[in-house]
Amino acid sequence: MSGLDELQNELAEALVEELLSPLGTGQSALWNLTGAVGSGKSTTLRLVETKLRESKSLIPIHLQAPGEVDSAPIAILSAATQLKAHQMLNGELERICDPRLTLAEKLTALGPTLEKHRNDVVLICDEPLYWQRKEWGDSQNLGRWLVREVPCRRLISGRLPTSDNPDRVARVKVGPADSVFARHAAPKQLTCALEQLIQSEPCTPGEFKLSLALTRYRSPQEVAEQLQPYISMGPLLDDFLQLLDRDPDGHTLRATLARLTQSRTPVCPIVFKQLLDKLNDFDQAIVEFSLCEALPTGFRLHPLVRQKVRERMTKAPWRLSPEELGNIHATLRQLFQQCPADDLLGQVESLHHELLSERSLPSKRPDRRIMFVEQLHAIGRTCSRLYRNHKRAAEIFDWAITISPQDSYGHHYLAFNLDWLAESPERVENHYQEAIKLRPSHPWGWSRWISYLATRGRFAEARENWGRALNALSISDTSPDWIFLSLHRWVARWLLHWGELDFAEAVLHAIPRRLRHGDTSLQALTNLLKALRVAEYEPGVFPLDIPHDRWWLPNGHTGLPLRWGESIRQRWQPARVESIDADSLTLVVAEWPEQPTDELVYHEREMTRTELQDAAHNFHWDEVHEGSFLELGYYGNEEALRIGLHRHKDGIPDLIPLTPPPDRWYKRSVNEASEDARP
Amino acid sequence: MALRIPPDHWLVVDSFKCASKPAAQFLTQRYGGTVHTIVLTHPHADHYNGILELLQDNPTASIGCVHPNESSGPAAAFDPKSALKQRAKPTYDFIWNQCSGRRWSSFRHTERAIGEATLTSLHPPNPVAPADWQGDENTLSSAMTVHWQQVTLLLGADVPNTSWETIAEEVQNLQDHSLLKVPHHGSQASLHQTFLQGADTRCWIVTPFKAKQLPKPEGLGQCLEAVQEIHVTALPYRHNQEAVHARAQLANLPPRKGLARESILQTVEALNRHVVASFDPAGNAEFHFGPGSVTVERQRTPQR
Repeated sequence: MSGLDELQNELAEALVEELLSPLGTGQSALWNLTGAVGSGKSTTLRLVETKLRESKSLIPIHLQAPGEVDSAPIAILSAATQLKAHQMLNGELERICDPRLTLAEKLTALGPTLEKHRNDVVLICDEPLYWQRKEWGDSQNLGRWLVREVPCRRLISGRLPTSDNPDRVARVKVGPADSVFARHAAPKQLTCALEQLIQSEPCTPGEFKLSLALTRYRSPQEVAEQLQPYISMGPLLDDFLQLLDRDPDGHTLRATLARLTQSRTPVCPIVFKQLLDKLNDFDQAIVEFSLCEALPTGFRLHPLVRQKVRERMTKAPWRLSPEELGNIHATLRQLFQQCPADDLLGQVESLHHELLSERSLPSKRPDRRIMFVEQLHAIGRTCSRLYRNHKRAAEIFDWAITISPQDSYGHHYLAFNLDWLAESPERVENHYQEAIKLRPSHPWGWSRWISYLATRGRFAEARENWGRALNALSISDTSPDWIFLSLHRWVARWLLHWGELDFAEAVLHAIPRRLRHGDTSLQALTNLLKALRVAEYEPGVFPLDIPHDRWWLPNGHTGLPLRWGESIRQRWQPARVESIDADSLTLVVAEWPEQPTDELVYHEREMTRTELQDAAHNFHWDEVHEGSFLELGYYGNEEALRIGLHRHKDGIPDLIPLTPPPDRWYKRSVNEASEDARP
Repeated sequence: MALRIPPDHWLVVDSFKCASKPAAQFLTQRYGGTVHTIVLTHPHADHYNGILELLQDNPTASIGCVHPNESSGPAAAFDPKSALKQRAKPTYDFIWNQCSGRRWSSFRHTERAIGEATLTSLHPPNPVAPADWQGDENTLSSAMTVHWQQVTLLLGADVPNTSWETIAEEVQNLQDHSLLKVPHHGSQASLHQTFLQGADTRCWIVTPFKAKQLPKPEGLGQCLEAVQEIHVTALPYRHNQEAVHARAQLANLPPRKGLARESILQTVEALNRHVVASFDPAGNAEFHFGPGSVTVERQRTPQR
C-alpha cells in the first residue's frame, strides 16, 4: 500500500467508525468531506462504501451523478434503484419514474422511505453542488433537501450546496508526490518524467497526474518548478488544455478527449481501449493515467477534465462533426443494449445514446420511458450545442413540454432553437414568455426575450420588458454577480450590436461599478460603447479592436519604431482612411488631446499613392482600404513621416460572441421580400 | 424631408434623430396634421435613424421601401461606422414583419395618393437585377416625384448617375420640376442630364452629409450651371456664420472651423438647419431659411 493509500484508508476507517456510532432519537447527522479538486475525495467515498458493505451494519446508498448540470434526477433515480434493490422501496418507484412530477414531488416520495430506514442507510453524495443548474430547474431543491430534510446519515463531498454547517468535517490530506506514484503505477511512457517529478512538493493525486501530462509540452524540470504548494488542479489543467488548444499536432488527442466526454458513465475497458487506439503510446498513457479515473466499472474522464473539455467543444479545434458524434453515441449505445428493463439507470443511458446517434428523430417518439424531463434537456442541449441541429433540438424540447407543460427550461429552449432557425415567430414569442411566466426569477429567460425583441426592431417593447425584468428579479447592488452577467451583460451586448446606444448605456450603468470594472467582458462592452459613441457623431478614427481605454498609448498600435535612422519619433497621430481610389486617399486625422477628456479635433489629409508608399513602415498600398487605421509618426523635427498600418486581431478582445446569429430574422425577411418582389 | 400636403397630410421621407428623437416628430407635433406616409429610401444610417420610432408613434402611417438584400450592412468587424450600420437590419425586419399590413414596395411606377397629391416612385425597377442587389445601396434608393396641382417635386434620394440613366429611359420630363431635392447630397456622381437641363429658376435644395463632406464645391458648381442658386440646409462643416442664413458664391463660402467633435445632432439645434419651400397651386414658391442654411448663388457675370 502506498503512502497515499494509507492516508485514504485511515480517513475512510475513521469516517466509517463515526458513521456507525448510534444516533440519538430524532437526530440526523451530516458529514462533509472536504479537499481540493483531485485530492481523492471520490476515492475516499468509494473506500467508505466498500467498508460499510463489509461491515453489514449500514447500507451505503451512493449517489454519483454524471457531473452535468441537471444531474439531480439521475442521482435520485440512482438512490431509488439502490433502495429498491434492498427491498426498501416499492410503490414509490413509480412516482420517482413519473416524468410529470417535479423533482420536489419525487423527493417527497423518497422522504418517507429514508425516514423509515434512517438507522439503516447512509447517503453518500459525491459533489452534489455540481448537479444543479442555477435557479432554473427543480435541481436546486435537491441541495436543500439533502442538507436540511433528509433524516438519515449523509456523507457529502465537496462544498455543501447550502450555507448550513455540517455536523462533522473531515478533510482529505495530501502527501508527498512519491506517495502517489507508489499506488498509481504510471505507464512506462511516463517513467522518465515521473522520476524527475517525484521529489516535488506535496500535492494531490490530481495535480501530480496533470503535471505528468504537462510533460507533453514542457520538460519535467519546468513542470516541477510549476508545482507549488498553492497551485491546484484547475490551473494545471487550464495550462495543459491551452497548450493543447494551440497544438497543430494535437488533433487526435483533442478528438479523443471530446469523444470521451460524450459518455456519462464509466466506459468498459474494451471500449475504452478502442476509443484510444488512434493515439500514440505517450498520449494513451496521458489519457489513461493523468486525465481519467479507473473505477471498478470502467474508465471515465475526471469530472473537471470532462467539464473543461465540454466547454471547448462548441469551437474549433475541438468540434466533432455530426458524423463523429453520431458514431460515438452509436458505440456507447451498444454498451447498454443488453441492459435489462429494470436497470433504470441503464435504460436512461440507452435512450440518451440512442436519440443522439440517430440522424433524425423517429416520427413516432420512442416507446422507452422518459422518467424525467431533464433527460430530454440533456439531449436537446447536445443537439443544439454540439450537433448544431436546432431543428432537432426544438423537437426534443417540444417533446419535453408535452410531457411536462410546467417545464420552464423546456419552453425557453424550444423558443431559443426556433429563434435560432428564425422559424415560427409566434411560437418563439409564446414559449419565451411562457418560460418567464413559469420561472420569472431566472435571468436567462428575460435576457433572451429582451434580446429577441431588440433583434426584431421592437425596442420600445424591449425597454418595457427590461423594466419588468428588473422588478421580477428584484435587482439591487447586492444581487449575485451571475445575475448581472446573465442579464445585463447579454442585453447590453445585443443592444450595442444593434446600435441602441442610449439603452445599452443605461443597462451597463445598472451593473455595480465593482463588477463593471472588474470583469473583462464588461470592460470590453464599456469600451465598445465609448467607441461607438464617438463614431456616432464624430469621424470615428480608431478601430474597435483597439479598446477605448487604450487609444492614446504612447507607443501607438502599429509598431512604428521609436527611432528611424538618426531621428527619434516626436509624436504620432491616429488616422482613418475615409476614401481611397487607385491613386490617392483621404485620411481623417485626429489630433492628440491635451487631456484625455478634451474634445478631439480632426483634420483631413490627402495623400497620393506614392506619398503613402514612401512613408509606409510595414505595409503595402494594396493592404489599405476604406476604414483602415493608420498611424502617422513624426520623426526628428517632424520633417520625416513614417506611417504604420494596424492589422486587425482575430476579434475584438474579450467581447462575448453573439448567439444565435444576429442576422437570422433579417435574412428571413430578405428571402420573403425577394419572393414578394417577383412580378 | 417632410412634406405637408393639403388638406393635412404629412409625407416623411427618411429620418434622422436629434436630441434622441426623430426630427420629423418635432414638426408634426408642432404643426399638427397626420403622418400619412413614411418612405425609407435606402438602408444608410443617415436615412433610417428614427424610422422605427416614427412607425410606432404613427400606427396608421403607411411605409414605403424596398427591402435591401442580404449584403446590406454586414459589419466590417472593426470599423465603428460599419458597426453602427447594423441598425438597418432590425428596422427592415420590423417593417417587413410588424408593418406588413401597411407597407408597400416602392418599386418604379408604384403610386400612392397622399391627400391631394400623388406620390410616384421612380426607382428601383422591379425586378432588380441580381447583380444590382450586391452593390452599393444607393443604386437602389427610392427616388420619387410628388405631383400636386401645378407643382412637381422631384425627390432624388441618393440615386447615382448610373441609375438615373435607367430612370430616364422610362420616365420623361424629369427636368420639368418645381423643386428638386438634389440626389446624394449634391455629389457629382449623382448629377445627371435628365434633370440638370431645364429652367434655371427651379428650386434646388441640398442636404449635407458630414462624413463625406458633401456637398463639395465641385458638385455645387455643377448644380449652379443648371440653376441660378441652390439652397443648402447646412454646410457639412461648422463655420462662424451659423447664426444666420448666409448667401454666398462658391468662391466665398463661409470658411470651416475644422472638423469639430461636437455634432449638432445631439440637440434640437439641428432643426434650425432647414429650408422651407411653400408652393401655391400655380407653383409659385415662398421660402423660409433657418439659421445655418446657406444659399449659394451662381457667380454673376459682371456687366459692362
